[in-house]
Amino acid sequence: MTRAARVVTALGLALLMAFVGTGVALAATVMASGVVTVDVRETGPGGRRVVVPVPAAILDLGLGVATLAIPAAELRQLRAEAAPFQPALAALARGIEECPDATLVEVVTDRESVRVVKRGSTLVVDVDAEDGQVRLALPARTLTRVARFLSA
Amino acid sequence: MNPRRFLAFAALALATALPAAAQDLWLHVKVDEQGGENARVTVNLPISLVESMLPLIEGAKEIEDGRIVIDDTDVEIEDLRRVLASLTDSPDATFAEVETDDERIVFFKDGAYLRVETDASAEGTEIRARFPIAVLEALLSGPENQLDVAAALRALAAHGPGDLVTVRDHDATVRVWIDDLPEAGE
Repeated sequence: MTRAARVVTALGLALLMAFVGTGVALAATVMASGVVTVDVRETGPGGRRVVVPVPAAILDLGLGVATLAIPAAELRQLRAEAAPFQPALAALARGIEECPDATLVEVVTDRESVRVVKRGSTLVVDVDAEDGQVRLALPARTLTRVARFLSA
Repeated sequence: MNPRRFLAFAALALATALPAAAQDLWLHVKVDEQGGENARVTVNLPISLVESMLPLIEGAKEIEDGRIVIDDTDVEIEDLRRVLASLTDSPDATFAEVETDDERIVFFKDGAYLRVETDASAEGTEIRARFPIAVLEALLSGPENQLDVAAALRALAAHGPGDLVTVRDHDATVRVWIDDLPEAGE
């Protein structure tokens, strides 16, 4: 192998490692922070399905950006308005995060059902009605981060 | 083992076990409707979570830090405190019994509990309620005219598992109880 070929190979390998490394790091971040998923299905003929998965890490980033993007006075006002509820919200978020797996609330009638389930590190809200189904999956940690954002 | 060391060990074990036990307890509510839309409602919540939710109850100006302020009521909290204190000190007995043509309500003390029971009325309603006295004491422990719901929940957790209220009538059954299982059993 010529010297030039060796240099090109080394550069190629370095680039490959950088891409793979970034991908692995990104996957690890998504895995660690979880994914917020909104899944809406319309029942009946021609019913559509919309699934929006958002890595919670992006929401965390959004909260971080919001701290910089929202004018200081408005952020202060938002936090002041949330202040009376913030300790309770933080306690609730922590409670949900630490709570073992269980169906927390279930309402079932002949026509519809609503379930709030803690599964692993995710809080799942399932609504099943005659005209469609909605499923929201939210990493429990996201609530804690929102509470922290409101208190910072 | 040195008795003093044993006592210290036992106290430490108790101190660490009690909060864990309270944390592991769940409040369950189950409502089964017969007729209508046949609604079935199940609520399973860790008591610690219920406690943290109290201040979040929206729009309830009367609720502050888990305490419910009662104004303009016919019954003064102070009177309830006096009644409870006298009931607590008294031996087990039936304190009130109301009997009408189609209903019978009995209010009595049974060990560490105050119990209210009704026989099936004309509408078919049967109620069995059992309130731990320690929980009622905690509920009435708020300052002045306030009910301390948070303290009552803590007392309920400390009290441990058991049925609290059962209501049966011709179109619904309701059960409220506490145990250490996350999911409501039968």
